[in-house]
Amino acid sequence: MDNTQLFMIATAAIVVLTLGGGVALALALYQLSRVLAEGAVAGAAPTEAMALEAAPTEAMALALWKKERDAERMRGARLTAAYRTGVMVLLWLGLLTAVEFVANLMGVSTVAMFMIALVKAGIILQFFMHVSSLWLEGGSH
Amino acid sequence: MSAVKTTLAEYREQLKNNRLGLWFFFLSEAFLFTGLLAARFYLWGNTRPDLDQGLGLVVTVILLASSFTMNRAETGIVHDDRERFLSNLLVTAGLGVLFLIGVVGFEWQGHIRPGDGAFGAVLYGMTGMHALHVLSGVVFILIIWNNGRNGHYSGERHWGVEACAIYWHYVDVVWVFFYPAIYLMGHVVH
Repeated sequence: MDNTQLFMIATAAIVVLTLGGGVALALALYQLSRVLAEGAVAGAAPTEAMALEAAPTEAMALALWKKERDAERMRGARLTAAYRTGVMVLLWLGLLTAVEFVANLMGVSTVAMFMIALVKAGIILQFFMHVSSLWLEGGSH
Repeated sequence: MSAVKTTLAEYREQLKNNRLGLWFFFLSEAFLFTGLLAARFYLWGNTRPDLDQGLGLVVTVILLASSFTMNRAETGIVHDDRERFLSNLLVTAGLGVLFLIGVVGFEWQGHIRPGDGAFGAVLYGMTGMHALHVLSGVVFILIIWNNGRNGHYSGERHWGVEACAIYWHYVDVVWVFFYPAIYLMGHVVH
C-alpha cells in the first residue's frame, strides 16, 4: 500500500469520525434535553384518543374545537420545523469543519480555508444570529 | 427589567433599537478580534506552532454544538417551551465550560508558554481574549437561566434571551475564524 492510498484512507477516516462525532454529540444532547424536559412535554401533549373523547358535539362548539386543534397542530409543526433547522445547521457546520480539517492535511491554500470560515460564519449569522431581523419588519424570529 | 409596563407595540419598537445597539457592540468587538487576527498573520506569516490538532478539533466541535443547544433554548422560549429552554441553557453553559477546560486546562498546559516569542504571545493573546468572552458568555447564560427559572421571559417578550443567544453565537463566529488561523493555516514550525 503506497503513501497516496494511506493518505486517502486517513482522510476518509477523519471525515467519517468528525461527522460521526458531531452527529453523535448532537443526538446525545438532543436525548439529554428530552430527558430533562420529559415531564413538561409528557404533560403538555394530549393523545389523539383523549382529544376525540373531549370533542364537543354541538356544531358551533365543534367548529371552535377544530379551530383550536388546528392552531395547536400548526404551532407544533412550526416548533418542529424550527428545531429541524437547528439540526441541519449543526450538520452543515460539522461538515464544513471536517472539510476544513481535511483541506489542511491536503495543503489547501490559506485563502480557501478563509473562504470556508466565511461560509460557516455566514450560516451562523443568518440562521442562529438572525441578522436579517435588523432590517426586516415584524421583529420576532 | 423596566419598572414601567410597556405595550407590546412599544416593546417591539424598543426591540429594534436594542438589536441595533447590540450589533454596534459586536462591530466594536470585531475591531478587537480583527486586530488579533491581523497580529497573527503579521507575526506568524505562513507558519504556525506545533499544536495538538485533535484538541483543536474537539474544542471547535464543542463550541459548534453549544451554538446548536443555545439555538434550541432560544427556539424553546420563542414557542413558550420553557422546560426545553431551561434545560438547553444549562447544556450550553456546560459545553462552554468544557471548551474553557479544553483551552485553558489542556492547550495552555502544552509546550508553548506566553513568553515564547511571537508564537506564545499571539497564541495566548488570541485564545485568552476569546476564552474571556466564553467565560462572560457562560455567566450571562447562567443569569438568563436563573431569570427563566423565576418565571421571566415569554414567547412575546424575551429580549434578554435573544441578546444572550446572539452574544453566544458571536463568540462562536469569532472561533470560526480563530480555529483555522491558529491550528490549520500555514506550515508547522517546531
